[in-house]
Amino acid sequence: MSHDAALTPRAPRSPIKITLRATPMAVRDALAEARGGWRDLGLDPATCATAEQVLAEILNNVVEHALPDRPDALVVLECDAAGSGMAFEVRDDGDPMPGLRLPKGAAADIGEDPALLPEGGFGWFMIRQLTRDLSYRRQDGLNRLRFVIDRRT
Amino acid sequence: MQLERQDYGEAILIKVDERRIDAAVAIQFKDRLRELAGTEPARVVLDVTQVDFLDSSGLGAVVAAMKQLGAGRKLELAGLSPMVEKVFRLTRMDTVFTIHKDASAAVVGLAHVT
Repeated sequence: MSHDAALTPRAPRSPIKITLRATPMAVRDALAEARGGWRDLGLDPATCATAEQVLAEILNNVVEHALPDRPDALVVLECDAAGSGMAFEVRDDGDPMPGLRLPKGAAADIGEDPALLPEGGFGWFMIRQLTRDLSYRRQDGLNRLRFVIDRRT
Repeated sequence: MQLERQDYGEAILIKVDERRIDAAVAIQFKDRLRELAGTEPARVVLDVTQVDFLDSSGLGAVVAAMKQLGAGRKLELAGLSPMVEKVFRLTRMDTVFTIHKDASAAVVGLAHVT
């Protein structure tokens, strides 16, 4: 019986580790790299779309709030997709979260008057809606954010 | 930031020729939209058929774009991809904006002005 190379699985690359600079364009590139990694692991598109959405919000927050004036600082992203959920850790050495705790992420207040609609505050609300086991730790000068995104089965 | 305007008399259609409205382009998007939208007509339809990714900064820019149109004018949306639609639904912004299935549904009955 001949060996069929097409049936040999590619070596799965998990955990995925990506290091990026603290700029919005670097976030775009990191998300593209993560998407490629998830595709190689055979993750379903809906789970990947959710993961990209959450990761974008997390990384943008790091760039804007933890490292606002340090575009050359490095942010490290790790994603272990081996289990039933995709487990993420994001680390940076920027400013700590205010009060050393995660924002509540309350739903935006939508009143009757469009002129008073909020233009921000959507990010943490979405993060909390789309993740589980979200945790934050400040240790040895590092912010360490962890969360899990459930895989669609 | 590629945006293209088409006139339909009582409405204008602004087509977003980008895959992403995110933190990297949110301010550019908002400014360009303001230039293109001008001061009339009352209805401005944003065709986001090409957009497959919208983050919270992008959503904030869409809201800001609506607000900068001012009272008496309205920003509507057309052609939301599944993930963009999910962002609007999660944040309840789907209750704030009129959302059309696609661009032609938004301007049905209106003649394209050349």
